[in-house]
Amino acid sequence: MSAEWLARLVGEGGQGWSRARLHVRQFEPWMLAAILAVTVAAVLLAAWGVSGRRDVPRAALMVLRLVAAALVLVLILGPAVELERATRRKSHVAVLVDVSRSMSLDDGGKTRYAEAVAALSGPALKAFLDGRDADVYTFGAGLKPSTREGLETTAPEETASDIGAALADLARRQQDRDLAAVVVVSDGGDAALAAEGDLSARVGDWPRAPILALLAGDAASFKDVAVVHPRAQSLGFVRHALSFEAVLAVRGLAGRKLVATLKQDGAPVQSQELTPRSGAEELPLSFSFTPTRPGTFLYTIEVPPVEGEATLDNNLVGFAVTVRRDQIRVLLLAGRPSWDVRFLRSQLKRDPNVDLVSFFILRDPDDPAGVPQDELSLIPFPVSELFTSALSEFDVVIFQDFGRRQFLTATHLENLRRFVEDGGGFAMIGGELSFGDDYVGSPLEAILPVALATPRATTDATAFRPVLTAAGRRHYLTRLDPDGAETESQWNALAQLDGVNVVGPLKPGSVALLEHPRLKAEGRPMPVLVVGSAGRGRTLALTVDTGWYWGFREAGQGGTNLAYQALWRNAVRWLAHDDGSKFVSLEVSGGSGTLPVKSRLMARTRRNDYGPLAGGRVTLSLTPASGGAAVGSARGVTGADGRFELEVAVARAGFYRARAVLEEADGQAVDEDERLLAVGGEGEELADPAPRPELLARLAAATHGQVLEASGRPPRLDEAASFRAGSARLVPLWDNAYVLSALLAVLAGEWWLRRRSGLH
Amino acid sequence: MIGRRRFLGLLAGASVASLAGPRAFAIGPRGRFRIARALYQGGNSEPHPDALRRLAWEIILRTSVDADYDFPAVRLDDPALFATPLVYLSGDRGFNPWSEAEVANFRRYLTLGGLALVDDAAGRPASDFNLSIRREAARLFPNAPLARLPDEHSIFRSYYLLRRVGGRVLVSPYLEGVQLPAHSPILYCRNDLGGAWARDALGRWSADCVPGGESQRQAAFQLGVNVALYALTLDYKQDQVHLPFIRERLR
Repeated sequence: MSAEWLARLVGEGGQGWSRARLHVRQFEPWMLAAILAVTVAAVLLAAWGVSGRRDVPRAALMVLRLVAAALVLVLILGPAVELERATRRKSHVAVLVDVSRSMSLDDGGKTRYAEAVAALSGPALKAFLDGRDADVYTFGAGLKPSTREGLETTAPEETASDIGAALADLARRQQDRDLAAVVVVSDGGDAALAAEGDLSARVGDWPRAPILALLAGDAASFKDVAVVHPRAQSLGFVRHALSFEAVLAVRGLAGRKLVATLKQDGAPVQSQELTPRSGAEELPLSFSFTPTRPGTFLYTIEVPPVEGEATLDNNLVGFAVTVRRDQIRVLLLAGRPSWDVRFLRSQLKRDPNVDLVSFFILRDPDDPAGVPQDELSLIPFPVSELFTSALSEFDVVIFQDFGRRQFLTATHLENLRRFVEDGGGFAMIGGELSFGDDYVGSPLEAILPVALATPRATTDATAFRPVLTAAGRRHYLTRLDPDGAETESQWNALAQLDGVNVVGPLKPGSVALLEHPRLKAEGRPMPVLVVGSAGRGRTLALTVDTGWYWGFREAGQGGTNLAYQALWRNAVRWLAHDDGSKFVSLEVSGGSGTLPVKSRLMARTRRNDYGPLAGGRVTLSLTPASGGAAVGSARGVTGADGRFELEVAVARAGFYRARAVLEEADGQAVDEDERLLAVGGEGEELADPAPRPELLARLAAATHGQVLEASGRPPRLDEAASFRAGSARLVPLWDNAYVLSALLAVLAGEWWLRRRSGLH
Repeated sequence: MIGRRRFLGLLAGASVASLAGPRAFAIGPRGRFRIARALYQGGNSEPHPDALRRLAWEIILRTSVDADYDFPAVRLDDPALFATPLVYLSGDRGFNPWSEAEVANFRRYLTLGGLALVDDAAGRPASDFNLSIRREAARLFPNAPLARLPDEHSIFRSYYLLRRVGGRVLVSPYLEGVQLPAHSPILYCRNDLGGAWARDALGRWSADCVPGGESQRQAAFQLGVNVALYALTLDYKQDQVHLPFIRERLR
């Protein structure tokens, strides 16, 4: 029965009613039962009154009485028709299209994004969307309004895909509207959401509408090798193993042999071979590497490209690790026990930052001990091992009155030269065997900061007081006071020394800190304390064997042993390139966020006494770690606080090497420091970009939605919400003349028939 | 740390079989190993004038140490004491209490790294020198009294592996000393080491060693050499690299 027909029946026709519903009065159940019971009883009584009578029209009377009872019942129940004039509108849906970087991947001739855009015009969605009001959005890290046409010109460049946040944002934007459905077109590249076990807790933040999920990308044909979940410490120590862990996520490459390599600043240090057995496998990677020198290094775990890989952006992860020393490891070799060795050894042993290994030559080969060997405490001297495999375990090697004869071969000295050129420290301290002829022409001569005497080595036993040079007044080793004049005064007050090795002049690049007051080398004062460099290493020469006078003897004569302690404490640190000896240190901040990011470089410069260096000339630069032109650099002068800063906008993600160089007025570098900076970028977006159909299926299941196929059937929705109530009217069916007239007519007919039959 | 195991491994493969090499010398005479002789008031500070010369001769003969034959006599309050980090303090009778200046200077000397070999030349248990030195030692280090040095002390392994203490006599079978955290600044022998070292003008031993004879004299020289090496190397023989060898030989 149509609403309009019923409306006409009740006299309300022609007004465009679209829906009609019947209502009756609401009674308590017991009242309704009582009414029905009374009605039935009345009917039975009526039937009983005419039973057995053949002289009356029993059937007609019963019909009239039943009709009368029915009409009375109508009056009691009060039926009414509710007429409703409702309109049917288009239902409202939201369409969320993933525009993260992973959507730009090509799983088989077409990017995922192109697939997604095409799917909106495909059989599953075109008619569905055309028939509804569709609000179109794109999402990556956040939600952005768009249009179906606008999607054609949008590029998938977002550096994250956060489906959960996009749905929550949609719920806020659409809170005043009823959504019939939310269409999500994505590759499911939300690793964080995928990792959540139960989505029901998140559903409360999302629109109360079913999600119709459509996968972009082909999980079956997807091929990729990704190094994901990297873990490593950012701070390590020399000679302490660093561990690097990651997971190799391999898709679609079952049985393919893969090699993962750990590299330090681009140089391979360790490899692992892995073979995935299934099409989707996560293989743990674990590397352990022991750095041998301090510094800031870029460590990478890399896997070579595999043919057909979806992306190469995830084949490498990097770690910036600062490696420091826990202790400076010093090897001290002494040609004989002497007071000079004894006090140096005591000084080094006392230094908590020094781990000392020392060997003294206690006995000459022809010395008669007078007892069997096993009654001596002498031990073998592992010279070959020390100068081959063990050399790299030290930071500094010191020769004190130590000759090469009988001990050191050319190979040993060559190894020592290489050790220094690779960054080690070497010091030669005076004595009859030091700076001797047997070092002439040896690899060791090449790294000494001072030339050996010609034609042959000699010593001069005359007492003398060394003269502090201008460089010595400033240098980290010899500076005893912030004031250079005071430093000089303190050195001048120290005890005289007895004797010196006669050496040649300074080598180019070396610096004399103390000079002999009388002896000359090629016309210039003969150096006594010299510092220099060889390759990446530092070298020191002290041409006396009574340096201990500056300590013990000085202390006994009213002075202190502080100069001696400071000299060797600083010397060891300087030789070992210890951070504490730097005159410039670099602090770097920034690097995270959306590109371009602003990174701040701050150089902090110090005087030799570690007070801030005002007016220091500093160059700051930020360069890609892989090489190339600097993305920012500046040269300037430090303020009163010793600082100089540079802010750089970095547009490309990656690792950058920040560098600060403190320069002399003539541009010659005094000291430098550097740090590695990781700048923003892809983050986790392309870490593991495999399509995740299972995530989309879970989204649909959690919201009572459906998973769609791009070429499949359109979705079915309960679209009750598409009706909107208009005007309505309640028309009583009993409160009119028809019902009353009918009742009177029936009662009158029954009375007339009863009278005619002779009944009362 | 370069561990013991690591260095044991190194040493196991060592190709050079001893810490022996060409003799090295000091640049000048003052760079040599020199022993000072302590002067004090009262008593006899030089009971065996030739003893240190004989000891130095043996040190040069037996070790690579470039020892000097000059033995400056220095008062304990003299700053010149600091030119010689080892001082030999001997006597055969009691001596006057040291002045405050002597105690202060000597304490500073010993605390900063100096070493005193104290040798009781009286040759008997009841010795006035013994009483005097204990009195002064208590003034020097009231909180670190003279006490027996343990067998594993570096003095017994700095060159020779010593199991006994020699001397002209055997008043005490052990050495005493004051132990500070960094070193033992006072080593005290009651067996008259100098008497065992000394020769007369004709080169004969000045005194017989009793009761052990020449082996007792050799033990005295060995202890003297060890004192010299201890003064020059301190706890060198306690380094991890040495311990396994020393323990094996002492077994």
